[in-house]
Amino acid sequence: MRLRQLVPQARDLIERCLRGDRRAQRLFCEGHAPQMLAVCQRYLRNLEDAEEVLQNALLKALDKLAELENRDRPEPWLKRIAAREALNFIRQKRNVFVELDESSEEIATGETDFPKGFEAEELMRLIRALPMGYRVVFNLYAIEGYEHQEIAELLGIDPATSRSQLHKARKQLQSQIQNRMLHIR
Amino acid sequence: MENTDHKNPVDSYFREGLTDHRASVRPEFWERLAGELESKKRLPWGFGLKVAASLLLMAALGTWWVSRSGQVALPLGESNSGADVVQIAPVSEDVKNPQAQPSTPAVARTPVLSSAPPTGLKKRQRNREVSSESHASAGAEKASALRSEPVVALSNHGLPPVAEYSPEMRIKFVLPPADRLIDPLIEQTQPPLPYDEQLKAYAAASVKHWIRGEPLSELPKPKLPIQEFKKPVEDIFALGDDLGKWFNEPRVKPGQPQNKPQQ
Repeated sequence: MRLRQLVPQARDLIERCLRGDRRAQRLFCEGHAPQMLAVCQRYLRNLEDAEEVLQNALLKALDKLAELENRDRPEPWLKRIAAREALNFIRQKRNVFVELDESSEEIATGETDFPKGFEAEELMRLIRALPMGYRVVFNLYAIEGYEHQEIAELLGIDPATSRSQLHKARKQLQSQIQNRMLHIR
Repeated sequence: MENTDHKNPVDSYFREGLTDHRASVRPEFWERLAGELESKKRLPWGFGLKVAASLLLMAALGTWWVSRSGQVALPLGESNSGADVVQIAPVSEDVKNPQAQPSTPAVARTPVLSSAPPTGLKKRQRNREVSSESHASAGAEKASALRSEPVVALSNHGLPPVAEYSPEMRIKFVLPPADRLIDPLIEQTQPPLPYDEQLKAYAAASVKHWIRGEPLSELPKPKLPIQEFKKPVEDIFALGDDLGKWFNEPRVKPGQPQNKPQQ
């Protein structure tokens, strides 16, 4: 009970942010930035780029806070903003699919037993090792939950391209996990 | 939005592993973000636009005010009956001696002149009225100097009166024909003033008008014939107290260059 009084509820915090309370805005940013940065880092390898995107995402979130419907649980909304901002950043910097390198594919075949206890950081590293196109489609489809049609519209590509990118991303991730397990053993 | 392909083990493995994953934010980031928030709060677009609009408005008003304040206030008081403005035009022809003209004062008050122009004179405008060689080169300062020259009224001249500024300057000003000063309609409805009053008003208004630099074309059409005025010019100046003083006081500034004769 005491803790609840000390830590403002998400809704209260948002209300205060909307009233222009600077302290509340800072608390809001500090509370949600780590999750949003994790999203940004899944799309962008460079930490500086990820932080730039995070900053834009936070400012945009504060701007559009009035549009947030579920004020008790703003995390999904904020993650979506972060993902969108990351995509915008990638679009501005270069073509998403320029980096598609077929030679980098080392597609493993067969079923894989996924190890337990892989740290999130390790998973992040595996995702960041993917080529840009694979990484973006895998993030959008597997992690964010977008459909191929939506991804195609977001990225301006054909849905079939999205499917093939996802397939290749999965294969590469699977292969890397297997390699890592072999290394561990 | 959620896709239906939840069964893929790779997807599930990564999705579950990265749920609620948090990355640590570097301290520098918070400083940058605080700066951004500060600047965003301090200077929103709307505020900037308002400031720009206000500055533009102030600049426009300032320009307008400065242009107005360039006008010079009259040195004379608003005395001498109702007469406000009379045109004085530069001499362009010989001035006749109207001494022998009869005196039949039949002039009405000069309400014509009540439609006075704004008090004040643009120096540039007044310069235009001074028809002399110095006209072209005379700037605002020169115009001011001309006005402060002592006036030597042409004695032995009746009306139309001629006020000749110091002979060195060789600038002559002729009071406009008196018949251009009186509104015929007003004349019909108001009793005529005594001769001296007419003269006084006429002279004062004439000089004021010259000071203001009003062009002749802007004068209302009067009716009084020239013959109505027969007194010499010095009488005119003597009648108007302020006017006479102003004209008769030597105001030449020491070292002030004087123009060559016009003729």
